[in-house]
Amino acid sequence: MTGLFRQRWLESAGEYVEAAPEGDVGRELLAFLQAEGIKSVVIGGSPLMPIVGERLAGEVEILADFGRAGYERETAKLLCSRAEAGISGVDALISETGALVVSSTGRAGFMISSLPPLHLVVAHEAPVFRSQEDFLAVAPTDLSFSFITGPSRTADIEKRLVLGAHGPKRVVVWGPEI
Amino acid sequence: MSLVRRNIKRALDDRKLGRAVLNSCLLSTEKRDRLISELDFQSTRAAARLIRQRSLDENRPLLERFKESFEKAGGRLHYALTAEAACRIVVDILLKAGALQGVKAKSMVTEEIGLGQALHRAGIDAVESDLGEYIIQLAGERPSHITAPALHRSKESIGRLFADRLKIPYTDDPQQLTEIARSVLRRRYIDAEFGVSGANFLVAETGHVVVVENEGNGRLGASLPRIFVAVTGIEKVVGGLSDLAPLLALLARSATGQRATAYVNALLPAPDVSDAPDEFHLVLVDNGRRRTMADPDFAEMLLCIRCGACLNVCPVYRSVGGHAYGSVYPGPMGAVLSNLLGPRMMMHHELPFLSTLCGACKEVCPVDMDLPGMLLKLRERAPKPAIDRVAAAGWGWAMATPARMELAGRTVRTIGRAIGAMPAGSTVKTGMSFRGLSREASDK
Repeated sequence: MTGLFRQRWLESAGEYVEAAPEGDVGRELLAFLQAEGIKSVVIGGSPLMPIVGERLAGEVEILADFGRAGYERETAKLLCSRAEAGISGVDALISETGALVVSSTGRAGFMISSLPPLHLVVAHEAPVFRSQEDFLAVAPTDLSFSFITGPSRTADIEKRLVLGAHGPKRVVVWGPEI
Repeated sequence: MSLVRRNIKRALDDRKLGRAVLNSCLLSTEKRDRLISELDFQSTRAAARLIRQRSLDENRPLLERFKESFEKAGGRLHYALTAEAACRIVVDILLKAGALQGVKAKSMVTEEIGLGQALHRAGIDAVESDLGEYIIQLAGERPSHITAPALHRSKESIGRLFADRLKIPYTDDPQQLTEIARSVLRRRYIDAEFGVSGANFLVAETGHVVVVENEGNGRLGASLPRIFVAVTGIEKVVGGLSDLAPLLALLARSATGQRATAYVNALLPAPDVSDAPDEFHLVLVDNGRRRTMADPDFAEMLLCIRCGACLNVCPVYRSVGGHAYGSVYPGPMGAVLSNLLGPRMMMHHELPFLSTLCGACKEVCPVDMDLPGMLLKLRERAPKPAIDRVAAAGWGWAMATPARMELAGRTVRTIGRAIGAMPAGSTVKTGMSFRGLSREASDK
């Protein structure tokens, strides 16, 4: 199922990195950020994020860590729109459509996945569902959530596909080894 | 010549427009066909149709259930019987909150009710944020397609428009034009006090408002500003989250030839959450829908999920594009729907004739609506042209008594001779009128 997820995710212009087994995903993220020359990030509030935050501390500028502190809306949106990358976890992966499930849990999940031009997703421990149908049968009934399939896009000018309409131009997933 | 006829003539004379529309339709149809073939189309659309049929059959209880879930989560529900009422509700919400500038995502129902103009009149500044809608808002035009609003414009004309309106150097590169719109609109998003959007589906059991999109403007509008107003038709409610699966699979494939759109947002009010609005409003629009649900000939039209596939395959739409229809909703679905919504039926009675009844629209429809059948029924209901109406009324009057019949006969003969349509003496070979003959016969 992970193989199908990756195939579909790549078809939607998403990027996929296999997270090393036993590996430290924080170290891998840091290496990626340094290779891309990225200096400022915002970090989401999912369970793995504190470890990621520790790895990145002192190496890149962490404008906001939503796992450690709550922010007012105005502050949150300014910090997220100033960051070069948003780093977040994910609630689930969906194979058939190659989709991430991201919920808004009060930790700026929507802003982190919308405002920075680059979205990095830590997904190697996320549950994988076969189809949208399978996920919807157990989906949270008390939270907002989005299916995200690749970077934001438009084809409004002569049907030419352009990535990075209003949301991120690139979305990179650290997923399970295949 | 009627307005629709003039529009059609103008569209057919514009060969650039014709090429742009045809190319876009062919591309969309080809992508759609490729991805639809992955599904068992007939069984998936049968499932989707059942779900949508329940939306209509159990509309009131489903809306009651939705209201309960949505309000429990902290949302505020409004009901608008007419387009004017819907606009007034949105304007009141925004004025009361002191939210005078904001962003609007693409939505056909807001076009239908004329929300853009209503906000403008109220002094509220709402910028369209979908790229296609932004382009046509800059140009002062209306959308020409329900999912690709600027389909009628070439990249060169968009380049000139941007250069002129935004005072920037000319470029016709879609990538650069998109970047420009992104950066202009990003500032508007950060400053926006409100977001307005449509909604594709409402989930009765949970209260989720579902917004399907590709650009990411929908979720920005629903998470950045402090006020969010979704506007949608009363027919959009479905039972549970699981009902979304076949609808989403068909919508993405039929509308844009994608397996899934970049974003499907299932939004729930959450007043305490930093990336959810403080106020989450939903305006339910009737505007003729309740009346249509009770009409056995046309209730089926409300199954529509606004994918636009019927536009893309229609030989008439492919030739003339969307503006020729002169209605908010164009193409086969528009030719039907435009005659059902609003204060009275048959506002666009010429549109059902803009069809060859080839049946392509029914073939691709993801909820299997009988569009050709409805077009035919609308043709029957269409008012007859004025000359026919006068003739029919005159016939009835003249045939009522023998005296009137004689008078009418003489009048017609006189006029006929005067305009040379009926040479003297040619009416009845015996030289006697039919009236005269029949009187003679009855005298015998």
